Amino acid sequence: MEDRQRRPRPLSPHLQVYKLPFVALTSIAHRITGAALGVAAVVCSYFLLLLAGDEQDYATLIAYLDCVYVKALLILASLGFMYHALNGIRHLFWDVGFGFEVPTANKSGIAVIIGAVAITALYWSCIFAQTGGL
Amino acid sequence: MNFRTPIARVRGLGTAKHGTEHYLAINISSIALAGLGLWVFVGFLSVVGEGRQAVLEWMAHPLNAVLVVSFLYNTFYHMMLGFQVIIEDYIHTEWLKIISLMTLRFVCIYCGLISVLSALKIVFHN
Repeated sequence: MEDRQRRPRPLSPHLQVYKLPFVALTSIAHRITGAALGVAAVVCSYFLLLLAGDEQDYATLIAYLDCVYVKALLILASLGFMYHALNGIRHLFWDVGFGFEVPTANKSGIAVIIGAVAITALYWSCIFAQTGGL
Repeated sequence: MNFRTPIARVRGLGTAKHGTEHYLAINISSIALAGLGLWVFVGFLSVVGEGRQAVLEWMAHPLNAVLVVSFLYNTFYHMMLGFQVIIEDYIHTEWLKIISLMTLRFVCIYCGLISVLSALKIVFHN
């Protein structure tokens, strides 16, 4: 009897079997990008610290920024940032009551994804135009 | 802002405690961040690739300085609120939740301070 009381109760399968609606996927993506951006913010605070330092610190910063992997991560971070920002605006519209109908929510979700990719591509092409590419 | 009537307070009736405040803070900081982020990232685009001096001069302008510092503060505040929701949603072991929330608060406050003070140092570099 005691053994049965201490064993944790079983939970019926949920994520393993249920196909999440599109809106649910955009929602969890909003949370994941938010968390990833939090990590990125901590890293950027270190970069700012380097920027505020002396010439040697600036050289270290440039060494980091010149590395291809860091650039790739920055591009991913921008993508995450644009997605989170655009989806955040979508959330703000929901908060005042607009766009709750399922077809509208699905369309705005797709618009957010397309917008995020487009703006990130535009932004980084501007950066590469000014710095001469990867 | 406490909208509870005195009788509700006395009866200890249904309260979201800090929930409403938290929700409003996230929304307001999002709106601020949308505008500030736009300014900061477009500003960054204007100095990228031009070397250290260009960045220092851009930051030295009072408007840019104010917006960058408020962007940084807002970022870490928004981040703290968001992560708080995540921790409260997924961690149910009480001691672990408390330690996680405390660590989160420390990380956000200290990274926030590091960023803001670095930004101010750049602003006042001469």
